[in-house]
Amino acid sequence: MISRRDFVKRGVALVTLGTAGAALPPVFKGAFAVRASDATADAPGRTLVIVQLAGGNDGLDTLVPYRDPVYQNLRPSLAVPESAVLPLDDEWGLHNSLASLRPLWDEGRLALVHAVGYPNPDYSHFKSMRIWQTGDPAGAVGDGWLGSYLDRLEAEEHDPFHGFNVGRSTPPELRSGGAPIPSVTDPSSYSLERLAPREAESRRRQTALLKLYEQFPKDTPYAALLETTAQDAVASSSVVQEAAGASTAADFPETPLGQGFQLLAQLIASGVNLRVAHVTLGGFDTHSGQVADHRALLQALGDALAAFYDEMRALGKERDVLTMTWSEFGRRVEENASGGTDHGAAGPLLLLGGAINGGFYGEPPALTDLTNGNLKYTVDFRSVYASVLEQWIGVPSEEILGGRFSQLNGLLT
Amino acid sequence: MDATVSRRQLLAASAGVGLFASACREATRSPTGIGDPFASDRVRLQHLLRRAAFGANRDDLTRYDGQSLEAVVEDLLAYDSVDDSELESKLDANAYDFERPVDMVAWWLTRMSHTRRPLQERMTFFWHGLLTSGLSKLAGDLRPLLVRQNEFLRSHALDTYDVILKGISRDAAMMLWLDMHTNTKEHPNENYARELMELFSLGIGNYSEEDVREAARAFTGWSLSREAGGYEFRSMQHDYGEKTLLGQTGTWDGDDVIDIILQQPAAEQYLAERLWTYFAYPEPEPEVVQPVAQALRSSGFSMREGLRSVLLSEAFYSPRSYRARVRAPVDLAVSVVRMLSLETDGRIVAQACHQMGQDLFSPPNVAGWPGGAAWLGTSTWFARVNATAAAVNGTGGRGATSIPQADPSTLLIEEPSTAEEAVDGLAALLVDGHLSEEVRSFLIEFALDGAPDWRSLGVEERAERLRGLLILLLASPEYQLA
Repeated sequence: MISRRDFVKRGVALVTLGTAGAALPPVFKGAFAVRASDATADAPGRTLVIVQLAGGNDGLDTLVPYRDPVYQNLRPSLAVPESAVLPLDDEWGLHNSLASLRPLWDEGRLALVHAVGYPNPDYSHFKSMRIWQTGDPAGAVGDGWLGSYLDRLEAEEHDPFHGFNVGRSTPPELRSGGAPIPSVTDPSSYSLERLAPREAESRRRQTALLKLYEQFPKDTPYAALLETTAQDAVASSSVVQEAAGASTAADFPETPLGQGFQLLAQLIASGVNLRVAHVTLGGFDTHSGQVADHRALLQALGDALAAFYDEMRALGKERDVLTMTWSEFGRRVEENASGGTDHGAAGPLLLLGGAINGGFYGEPPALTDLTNGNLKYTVDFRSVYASVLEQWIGVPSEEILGGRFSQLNGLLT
Repeated sequence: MDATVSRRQLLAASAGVGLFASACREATRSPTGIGDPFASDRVRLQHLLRRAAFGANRDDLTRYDGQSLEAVVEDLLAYDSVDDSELESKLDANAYDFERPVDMVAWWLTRMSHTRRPLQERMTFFWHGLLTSGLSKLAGDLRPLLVRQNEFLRSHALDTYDVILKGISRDAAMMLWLDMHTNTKEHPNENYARELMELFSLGIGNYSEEDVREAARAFTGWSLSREAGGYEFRSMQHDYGEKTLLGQTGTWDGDDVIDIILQQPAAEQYLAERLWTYFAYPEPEPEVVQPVAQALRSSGFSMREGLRSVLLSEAFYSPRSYRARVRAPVDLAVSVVRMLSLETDGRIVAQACHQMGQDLFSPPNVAGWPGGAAWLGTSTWFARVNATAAAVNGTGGRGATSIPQADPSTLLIEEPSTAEEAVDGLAALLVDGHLSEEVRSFLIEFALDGAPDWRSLGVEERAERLRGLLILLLASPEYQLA
């Protein structure tokens, strides 16, 4: 076991001893060397990948009730025609832009949970996101539902890679009191640049800068977070950059989401002890022009998920990684006057992985029994969270979710 | 507790800010922490200018030298009488294309960086984070609408809140952002009505869902047309029926809604808290917010009075307020540009802000930027340090998109004759002279790097060491906080 302070101190000590480094300042390599050798003692844990579909994904355009006349009636211009649906059973089928996921469904590695939501749905993006992120329908400002888990890991042993985010700042569901996580958009800029024209002076300044963060008095509200952020940035930089340089077996799409998943795959391949990762696909707020926009979004989603699964399989890790989507709400059943749909309530959620027991979960929503024109939920989102926390991560869910929730039975094989 | 008396006592103690040069020499040296951070008048001034302006460079400190805090606050608030024509000429010369997002951002950053009315820009920035609108729903020739909104917020930055709310409710960019233009009698759209109460005026818990629906009805018919160049009232779409809003019944329209909202005690409370959180610190004590709310109420919601109350409050200069905010990327970038007197057209600054995670005119959602801890990620930390280093070391290249190497000697009143003077002089300017003794010694050692003394270094070496100190202090944890 190694404390955060020791961890960085050892890294810095290597600099003063003059450890050589090539492209990167030695302080990074030093920190990495300490981490990697310690990490080998740990058995690699399971990884949970969260995919946020931001803006409110239209569930009925994702998992389509393709033979339901009510659906056809309420969506005269939007209803996906049967010819553009990949039937999964007699009633439900995937939008064919998700064709990449069809083989995984056939293999039984894709779980689709019907009509996930919560009581008294909120139609504000902001508030509904907060509810999903905290796991609390009161939407209290607090730690994210996975942040509490990261805090727990942090208390046992510091590792900057327990959590990881593809993006600029820590997503609220992974936010916690004591465990900042690396957030990366572009691996190539994920490092300290030269702080001086001369290489030696640049290194001197970098070392000195970390010293300032270490010695900053911890009596102001953000002081501790500043120190850990700087240290984790430096400690994770070379790992991320080296990982991102490795080639992958799967062909990842050139979309931002595809590239994000590629980075996650590369990190997992590099052997870091990644427990919770987060990626976001935005643009689901399809109030107008939904047909083309939503098709492109689903295409990007399906292709990236499939490539990621293929890569995990090539690494022999498909049973160690579970991917789950969520969106703050589904959309209004009836289309609006602009070729789009307005904010709704319950929507389907997707779980994917080699350990998943594929198929449908939960009661399908009834298009004839709506509240304010929106689907009623049949599965509480906290039931999904509880299943993931208990069955996949292996931690008690009651404290994190503030109550006991029934779980999806037999989610894992 | 009479806040006014305390404030007077505080201001009476203000006997001028002291010459900056002497301040450099007397830089605070407390052994570990910093005790009372506001022990010196100069630190109060620097704190005020960090919050109400965009930091204090050498010229700012010289200009306000010897003035009481009250006088400085009045000077900042009285920006209408300040000639800013030099800035306007500079902006005209840069020929920004308001259909290009990067130009829009660069234009505003250049305003912030070069204005002589910093409080006006600060307040405009405050409004942009509260009465948010974003580019995501605006393409091509609709984008300049957001600049128009920005000009509205600027010209009414310290106006009364009813004027601001009634104006923003007719603002095209806002109407598009919150779907007001589709709010018709047959299909009322609750988006604007909800955010008006939730985020702009009352806060959650101070209105009901029924109030949202009734307010939405009152705003029906408020629409847009290209012919009108923006807001247009469509009487055919307006619901002239009776509505009951917050307990009052009548045939209300949108302006009535705003008037009724601002009659609620929750409104001054909410706005006072937003002001306090933005300018001082989050989650303020009720007794600290109360005088601000009172100032708003008794002045008919004058933002000038509300802000004056914050900036002259004793609690604004209390330890809890010190370094209590994380500098937003825009704050950080603009403060560095002003500190180093960089000449840029803002485009490179816009790029830096993007890397640090803040794009003006593109707030993440209707609630604006969450701020605080959300600014501190590993990627954005690299971006903060890298941008700072580029501002000091220069970017290479020529023309409006490049930055020359900084000359740190222009930051100091006197050429330092010792490493101690070099460290203390820069620390006084950049971090209020508030370094622990441990860090100060470390920086002195860093400045000398084995040389017996400062004078033994060559001119070039001294300049390099000063640039090193400058980068370290600008990238320091102290400077990331405001």
